[in-house]
Amino acid sequence: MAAAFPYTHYACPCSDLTSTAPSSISKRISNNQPANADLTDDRTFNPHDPRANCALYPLDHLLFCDECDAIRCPKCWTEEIINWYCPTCLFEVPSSAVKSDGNRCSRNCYTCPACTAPLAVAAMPQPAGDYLKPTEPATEAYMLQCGYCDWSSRDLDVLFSKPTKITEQLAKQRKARLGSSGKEASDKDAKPNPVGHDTAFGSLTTFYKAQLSESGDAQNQFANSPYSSPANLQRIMNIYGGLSANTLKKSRETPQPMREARDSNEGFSTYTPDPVEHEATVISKLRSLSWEDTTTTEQRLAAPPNNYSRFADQLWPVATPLRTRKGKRCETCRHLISRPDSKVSHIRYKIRLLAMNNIPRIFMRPLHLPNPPPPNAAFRLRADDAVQAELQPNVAQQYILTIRNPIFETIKVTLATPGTTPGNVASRVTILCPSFPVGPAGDVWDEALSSSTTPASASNDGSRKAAMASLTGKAPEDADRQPEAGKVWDRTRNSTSVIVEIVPGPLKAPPSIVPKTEAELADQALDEDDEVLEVPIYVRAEWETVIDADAFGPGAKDDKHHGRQGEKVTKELAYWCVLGVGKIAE
Amino acid sequence: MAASPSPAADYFAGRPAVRTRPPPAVLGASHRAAGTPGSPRTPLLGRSISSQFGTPGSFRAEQEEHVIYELGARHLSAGFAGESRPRCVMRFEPESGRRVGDYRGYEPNHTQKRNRRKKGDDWGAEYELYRNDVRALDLGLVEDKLGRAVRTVHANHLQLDQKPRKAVLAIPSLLPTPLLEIALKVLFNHYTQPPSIMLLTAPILATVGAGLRHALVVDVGWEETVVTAVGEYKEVFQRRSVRAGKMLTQEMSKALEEQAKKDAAMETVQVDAELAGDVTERMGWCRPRSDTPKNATLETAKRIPLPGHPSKSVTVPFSKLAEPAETALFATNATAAELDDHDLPLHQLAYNVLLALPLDLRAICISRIVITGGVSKLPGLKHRLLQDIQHLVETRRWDPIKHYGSATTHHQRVLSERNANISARKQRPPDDGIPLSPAKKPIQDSVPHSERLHDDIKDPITFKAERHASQGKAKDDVKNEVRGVETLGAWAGASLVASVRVKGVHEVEREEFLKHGLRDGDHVY
Ligand SMILES: [Zn+2]
Ligand SMILES: [Zn+2]
Ligand SMILES: [Zn+2]
Ligand SMILES: [Zn+2]
Repeated sequence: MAAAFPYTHYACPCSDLTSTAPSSISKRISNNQPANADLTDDRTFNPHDPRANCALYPLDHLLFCDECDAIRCPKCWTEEIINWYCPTCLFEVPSSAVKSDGNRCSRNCYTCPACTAPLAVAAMPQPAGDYLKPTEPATEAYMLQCGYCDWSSRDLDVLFSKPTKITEQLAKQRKARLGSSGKEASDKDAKPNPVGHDTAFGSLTTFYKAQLSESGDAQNQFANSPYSSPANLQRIMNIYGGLSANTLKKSRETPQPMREARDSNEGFSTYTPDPVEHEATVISKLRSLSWEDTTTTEQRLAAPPNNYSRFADQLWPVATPLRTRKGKRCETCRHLISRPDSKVSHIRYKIRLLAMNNIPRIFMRPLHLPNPPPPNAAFRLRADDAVQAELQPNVAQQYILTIRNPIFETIKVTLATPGTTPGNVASRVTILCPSFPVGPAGDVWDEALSSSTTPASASNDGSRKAAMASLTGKAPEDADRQPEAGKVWDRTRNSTSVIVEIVPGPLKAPPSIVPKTEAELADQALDEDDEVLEVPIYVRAEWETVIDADAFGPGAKDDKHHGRQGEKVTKELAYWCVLGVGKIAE
Repeated sequence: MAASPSPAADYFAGRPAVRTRPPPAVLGASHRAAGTPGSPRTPLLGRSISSQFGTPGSFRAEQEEHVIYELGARHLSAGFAGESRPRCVMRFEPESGRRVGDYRGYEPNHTQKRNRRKKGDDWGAEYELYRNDVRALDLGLVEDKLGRAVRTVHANHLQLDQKPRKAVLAIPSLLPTPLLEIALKVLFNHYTQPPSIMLLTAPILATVGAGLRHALVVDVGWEETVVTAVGEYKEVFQRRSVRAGKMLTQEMSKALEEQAKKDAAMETVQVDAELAGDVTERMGWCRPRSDTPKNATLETAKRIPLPGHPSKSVTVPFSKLAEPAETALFATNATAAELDDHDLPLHQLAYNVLLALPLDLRAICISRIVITGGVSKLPGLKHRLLQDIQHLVETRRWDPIKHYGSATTHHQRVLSERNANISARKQRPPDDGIPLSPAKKPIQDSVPHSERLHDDIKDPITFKAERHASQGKAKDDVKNEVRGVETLGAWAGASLVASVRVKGVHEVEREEFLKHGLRDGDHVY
């Protein structure tokens, strides 16, 4: 994955893929099981399954509903738009104008159709000679110009008479262009040019509307049907669907409710097998142009006007698409779980229930840090800076797995993982101590004092301690300690660490004596990401809580399923997560 | 624009106070635009605007608006009824299947890594949402991908408010039921919650989009080419062939790889589905039937850069870029014996469908050939297809038997006799009335009208009546000649249908679907 190792991705339990728990939550596997045993076990979440990509998220993308006590992901929250705004000029667009403007900024914000950089309005350079001729006032002309590539609206022969109201001027010019091509077609009836898509659409719409009202009126005159105006609807319904006996009778009465379109004024255009000029010109243009003169898929799909632009000189400037501010609700209980400030200029949130503050977090780091230790991910500038050592297959590695508790109760955590990782490469995984308690989070100041504030550095607890140890002159007790099965490795106030042993599997099957067929070889070919060692872990946390209005925020008080105030309730949270350990060497 | 303020823009913007100031001032500008003069520093603009215009629907009786979706094997288009183009076209590609926060697709040297993927049956699999063989399909994955695409479409392009809107879903005809069910499930479960979804099939919509009631729709898609005869907006007859976009890109890949091999100093170049598709879309073309394959005078060479290798490129003669269409779509290099029922070349397929139609519908359809689908945009394809169909019709007429074997000579004789008869009849000067011997003619004139010899078919009154009757519907109906009709495509067709407020019978109600799923009666397709 693109993220630097080690990383943790969390799965929301809302899909059938991620909701199932492994067969026995306390399953501890240390024996060598045949690799297939786990592949057949459907209940193991496989991070290499293509579906997993749609289910896994970095923790900061997930929200939490404190009414349902459940993780919420884009699949199980609903969104409602609070406001629409242009990301370039920050103008808030009233909701009534959003759709008619095509969900794009109607002011002067345009992006380059060739490279998507913002466009600026620039004056046309005047030919040098004109400055010296005072005879006529220089006609001002402006154009849209890209600051990044050399595209400008001059390529389209689009110039503006004034530097403001670009959108209106642009719309006028486009309309003029489309209109002229439509007229041309109706002039020469014998060999019609292709009518523009939009023109044809317009004519067809008028045609169909006229036909529908005509045939509707006609029927009203003689057939005094009980339902006068829905009658034509009824009849059209028959056209699109099956015919019942009754409607069949009716359609016989008026066999031709609608005729076909006949000429280009009605949006109808035909072609014959004889070679036609415009197609020949497209081909000869294609023949003469180079690869760079044709449009890319991205350019074509960037905006509807460019959908049919085959050549780069047909690309129309792209109005900046609007962005939205969205409130998010839990799909189950409709409770707001995220609501930004409604003002565009404010970036704060009024409500934002992050999963990060509500579910146990998991970090992983190697027990024996490589020498020298890699710099903290937060200080990395480029992805390449992290020269990450590849994992040697079949060599056991030990890792410290740290569970951090963000809530104010002591939680009982149970971890489960398949003995061998699912997927094409089978690595063995053993959690030495899969069940343990984690202490409660204190108030903000306790936390700030006991560990550093950035979440990433939480994984460095051990090294901080080592640093402390070296300062105090004491020999670090970690140095000669051996991991023991069933024992917790390390414990701080609200985090607990255990040891995981991982034996990366070999990427290639051992060479066999029997020569393999091509199909078998192709079968063995690895997919992208198969060499990435990812360990799925099922985390289950259990805690008891006293119903207290303050501890669970407003709203919890009047909620029925929390029980009466002062009563003890057992709560439970379980989810799959995936630890990215590293890449296995070939 | 704010990101790269060019001096010219500042100078000519006409709102100097705005352009030269940091963001708060820009907000002030919007203030002015809204007609409320005020201090440019007031950041309260958002509120003042929304209080003025922020309540839609209360004062404007909004007509019911429909959201139109078109689902294809490789794309999802969405937009609003009454508009000529979809607001967005989402293509399914490997990048759209990545994890949140995985931006590898943007890394410059990324394509190289991907080349390791398998070929063969899997060709282009990452670029499609589904294939028609549902047995080998991970339906859960299809649902995930589609759900993600629908969410992206709504978040980035449609951006609708909470009002429920009916939806129209355009689907390929005979879309496998499990896939249709998934599509409906995803749309109904999306938070916009459409109260109902109208289902329409692509061939019908292409017919509507061409302004026709009857048509022969040739839909050259990704996995298959589907030829459908449409009569009175109903699918009458349909045949399929695997000669379509997928095969075309595969041939393009082969052609490019061959070409690269010819350029000596190059190691083997693998052209993946993405590049091959790109080349087909940008540079592929289709030569007319009569064109000589080697048109040396006009030959130009095209340099096609290989992604991932900034300096490397393949140089292909332009004529070579037309060959994939020849082999993949028209099978010019295959003999009739090699062709199976499932991979007939397009013109043959269209001909077979026409052949299976009743005579009168055939006569109508042959003049209403509607070519649509993604590959139909290939320059030259439409005319080439018409030319080939015409050629087939001229050489074989409407004879279902292709080879008479030993009876060939006999058959040809019969044919030529028939031909002679027909041409003789044609050449006869048109005379009004029944041929009567000159001797009888005066008698005919003197007989009372009611007792004259009468030919119903050639009677001038019958003619007149027929002409009159047909005047209303089709006075210059073209029949029996090969003719193509342009269509706006399935999406625009659906937009038309919804905008003129035609009510479809195949409408799936939300409550009904969520309770019972697809009913038996629902899948008419
Ligand atoms: Zn979820
Ligand atoms: Zn803007
Ligand atoms: Zn540019
Ligand atoms: Zn909830």
